[in-house]
Parts: sequence; C-alpha cells; structure tokens
Amino acid sequence: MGHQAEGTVAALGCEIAYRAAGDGPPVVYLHGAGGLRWGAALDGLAERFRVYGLELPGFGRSTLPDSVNSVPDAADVVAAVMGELGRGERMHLIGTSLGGRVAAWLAVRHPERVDRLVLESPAAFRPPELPPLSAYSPEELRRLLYGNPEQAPPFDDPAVRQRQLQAVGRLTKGVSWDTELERRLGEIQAPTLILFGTLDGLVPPEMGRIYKERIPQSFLIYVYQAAHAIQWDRPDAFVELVSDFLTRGEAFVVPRAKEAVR
Amino acid sequence: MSATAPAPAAGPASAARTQPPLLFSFFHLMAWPFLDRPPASWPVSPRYFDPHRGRQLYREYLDQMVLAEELGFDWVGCNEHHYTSYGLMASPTIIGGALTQRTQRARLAILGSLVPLNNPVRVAEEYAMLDVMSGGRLVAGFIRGLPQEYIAYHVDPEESFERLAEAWDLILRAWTEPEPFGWEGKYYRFRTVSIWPRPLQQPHPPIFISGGSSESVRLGVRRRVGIGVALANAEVARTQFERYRQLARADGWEPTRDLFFWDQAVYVAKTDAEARAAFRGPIDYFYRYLLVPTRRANELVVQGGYYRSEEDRQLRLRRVREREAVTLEAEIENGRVLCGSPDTVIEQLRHWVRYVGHGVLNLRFQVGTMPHEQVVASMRLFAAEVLPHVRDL
Repeated sequence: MGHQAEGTVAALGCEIAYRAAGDGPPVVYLHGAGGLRWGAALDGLAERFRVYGLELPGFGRSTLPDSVNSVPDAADVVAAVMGELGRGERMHLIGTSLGGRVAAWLAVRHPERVDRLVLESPAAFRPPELPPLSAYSPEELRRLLYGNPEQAPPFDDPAVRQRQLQAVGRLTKGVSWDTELERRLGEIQAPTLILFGTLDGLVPPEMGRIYKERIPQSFLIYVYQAAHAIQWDRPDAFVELVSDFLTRGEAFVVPRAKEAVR
Repeated sequence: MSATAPAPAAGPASAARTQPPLLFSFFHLMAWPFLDRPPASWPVSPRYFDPHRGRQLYREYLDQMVLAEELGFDWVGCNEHHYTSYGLMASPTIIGGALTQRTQRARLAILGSLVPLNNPVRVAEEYAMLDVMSGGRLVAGFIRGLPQEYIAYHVDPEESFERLAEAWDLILRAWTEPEPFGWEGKYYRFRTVSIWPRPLQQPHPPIFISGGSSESVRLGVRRRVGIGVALANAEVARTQFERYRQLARADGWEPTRDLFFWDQAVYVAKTDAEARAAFRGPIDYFYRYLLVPTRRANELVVQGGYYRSEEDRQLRLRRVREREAVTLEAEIENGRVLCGSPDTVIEQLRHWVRYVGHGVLNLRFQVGTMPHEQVVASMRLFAAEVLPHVRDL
C-alpha cells in the first residue's frame, strides 16, 4: 500500500471518511458491500491518478444519518463530497458492485460532477431469483467473489460485516433489481466503462448488457478468469483497462503497440 | 474380419439401448499424391507443390465431397494442417465455403480450425458465416492441432491448452452476445467485438474437440461437447471414449454415442483380394511418405510442453512410433483401415462399432495416392452395398 492520506468531508448531514493516494487527475472510488479494501489495483491506479477511496454512508468511519435512506440519497452525498474534493471541477468516478449502483445513480442525478465513469461488476441489476447476500456464509461468498481466493483480502470481523449488511439493507431496501435506475440509465452523459468478470458468481456477467444497451456512450468489457472482485483476481488488467479508459476516453478502443499486460 | 482381430467384446455401446442413429462422415485430408520420395523433414519444401496439379486435385477432392452427400453421407468434413504434403488444407473454412455452395443437406464438419493458433474472433466470424451460408449445417471443430502446427504459427505449444480454453469462451461470447463487448483475456484482448453475422443454429453450432489426450477428454466432459480421435487404432479410440463415459457418469450424466467420432481409412472393391491389392500402395504412401515429416516434427514438439501429463506424452510418442512400421494387414487388424469386399467391410464395421462405441464414423476414402476414379468407385460401392446394411447398427 502506497503512502496514503486520510480525511473526512461533511456533506448533507453525513461525515464521509476517505483515504487518498497518488498524484494526477482526481478519481473517486466507491467500494462494494464489503467496505473499502485498498489493494494492488488501487495502488496501481494511484501511480497515475489522485485516488480518493471514499467510505459510503454507514461503512467504515462514515456515518449514516436518518436522512440517508436510499441509493440515490447516498449518490447525492457522494456528489456533494466530490464537489468539495474536486473544488467544483469534474472528477472521474469508479464504483464497484454496490458502489457501481451508487456511481450510476450519481451520474444520472449529477452529470456535472462526473468526467468519466467506470462501473466494476455493478450490482444494480441482480436477478431477484438469486439468493440475497445475507443468505451466504462468508466462505460461500468468498467463492462467488473470487476466482482466485488465494489473492483475496482477509475475512472481515463479524461485527463489521453485520454493520455493512445493515447499511446495504437500508440503502437498497433489499431490492436487488433497480427498475428506476434501469429507466434512467439513458440519462448518463459520461463516457462509461462497464467491467464484468467472466466468472462472476454474484452478479451474472450478462447483466452488463443492460448498462451497455442503455448508456449512450458505453463500453462493456469482460475480464477473463476474474470473478466479482476483478481488482483482486486480475489487478494488472484492471489497472491497465481503467487507466487507459480514464486517460483516453472512447479512443481507448484504438490499440497501442506498447501496451502489453498479461 | 481378420482372424486375429480381437473378439467382439461387450463394448460400451451394448450398455445403452436408446442410442442415436450412426452418422456417416466423409472426411478428406486432401493429400498430395505426387511425391517421388519421402520428404526429408518437416516442413516440406514448397518446391514440390505444382500449382497446376494442385488445381486439378482441389477440383477432384471437392467433387468427392459433393458426391458423398449425394450418396447419403450425413457429414462431409475436413481439417487444418500447415506446411505439408499431408493435407492441402491450410484453411478448412475455405473448403467449407465452397461446400456451402455445392451441398444442400449434409452437415459441414470443420474439424477444424485450429482455435489456439488463429484469431478467435476470426474463427467465430468464419464459422458463423459458414453456418448462415449453409443454412445451419456447421459442425464446429475447436481443435488444438497437431504439435508441429505450433512451430508453423510460432506459438508456444505449452500455451496450447490455456489458449484453447480462453479462445473457446471468447468465441461463445462472440456468438451469443447481443451487444458489442470487449475482452480482457490472458492471451487475447479486444476492446470491442461485435460480429456479423451471428450463427444460424441457436444458441450456437455443435462443437467437437479432439480427444486424443486424457486432458482433452476431461475438457470435453467438462464442457459436454463431442470428442474425436484421429489416426488412432481401435484400442486407443475405445479407451478414450470409455474414459469420457466414466467421467461423464461420475459427473451425473450419460453421453450418447453421437458425441464420439473416430476416423478410419476405407477401400471397398468387389473382392477382398482386389481390395487389398489396390489399397496396399496408397496406405504405404500415406505412412511412408506423407506421415514421415509429421512424425519427426511431432517427436520434436512432444519433448516440450505440448502435453502436460507424462501419460499423454508417452501415448503420443507410442502412437507416433507405431506408425513407422505398418502393413495393410496390421492396419486392418488394429482398426485404422477398413478394406475388402462389401461383405467384409460390413463385418469389419459391425465389429468396430460395437467394440469402440462411437456414433460418428469419420471415413477417409481418398488415401495417399489413390486416384479419383478409384475413390469414386469405392464410394459408390460402399453406398450401394455397405451403407444400407450398417446404417442401423
């Protein structure tokens, strides 16, 4: 883990904690339902960007006041934080899983805040016939999340996990298919990169089509042999794809001879 | 049946009574028949290829494949080889394209494009084109290729299995994905893939892989696709198919015999004596001329990492060496050759279908130097006097 700064920002009645590292264009990162886990992928991004890893309301050191009751509420809070951190300038936004759902809502409601958007295994559309996250044991969850469990971060403390599940429940109200977002995805103006791992056991990778079909300027990429946690299964591929997209935007489809990631 | 052939055993086929009908596949290697001495090494010098004779050969070979459909064969097939007089089929999809225009009913078995050596998106596109152009008749071979093909296309043979697995996933994705997508693989990367056309058969054409090693048999079972064994004797084919059955059963399902193809060289004439006399030369040419360079290159590559298990490596080396000293009689006995009068070939087929338990008979009528007229005569005799008696085995 590189040299990191920590801080908090007050926004819409929330205290939002963040960790930051690196120099370069600013990027806000929103974690998934397991909380902020800063690994090799975020370190890699921090070599080219100023990465702010935010803790969503109700996670880690961030508060969850009564006024924040939904994913769009959380998106509004993050947008306000971005206004502070970016001093009014647009920032790139990356969201993983639950964080991807928040990021997509943020791009719908606050287009002026977002430069380029990356959705890593976004969890806004999870077929309702699949069991809820709370139905899985930590070991089961681990198998759905990681194609390569040896590279995975350690288990969370049960008390931490309990608090995370409560926050997820409150924000999503247990709704795994966000029909309102589905209707509004077409309003996203930011060029958007959608990543799904071919082994994702938590959200079927085919859900990527829903974003791809509706977001006007979007790119869907399957990351081979990664499960839900692409950052942990294929960290180098994640860094390369995301950096290239954030740097070149839609021109990232044009091959360059010097890129070579295995 | 040769007197020393193994007695008909209670073969795997006897276990299952509700098997699908046998499928007869007419397979063509498109050999070069004009060598006057065995090539010294692999690759074979292009100087020995005469384009004018080549043109005539392609015409005759395609005519044979078209005739096969007329005569009632269910599949017509070809495969991919490089740098060799062994087969003039550097790109089997080109032959497939020609066949879409000259056949109406038979399945086109491209067995196949060498998936780890080609651009997988190109394979997906060409296979989809063939499927659409043929009206949904493609059988898609996802073939790893002979070891020496990795020298030809400069790919590390140790990567062959992983490349096959990844290319496979990518091709299926390209065939079935309704939106453009990118692929961040370990061997292949594309920022955007969006193929036109998509295949006609839905969700995609049937897939076959080669089943010559224990590892490929496991892969076939895991993905529930057909496997084929080529240039192998009956014992090897039976072992591989039986291994497949056992693994599938352990996995909770029962494979049908149409998942197994095995190739045999065939020649039918009026009498056994006539058939043997006529087939000796072509068979001899096949092993002593066409296969010589392949054998040497094989041994070279197999020393490296093409096979990941020692068992598979030894099996390949044994099979390679086995092909050094062959006689027509031994070939008939071990099952790689069917040869004789119609009655004899009926007997041979009855025996091998029961013994090996395969459901797709991949038959090669043009072997080595055998000229067009002789191939056609043998095919016609087979269709008239053998096929009707073995269809319902």
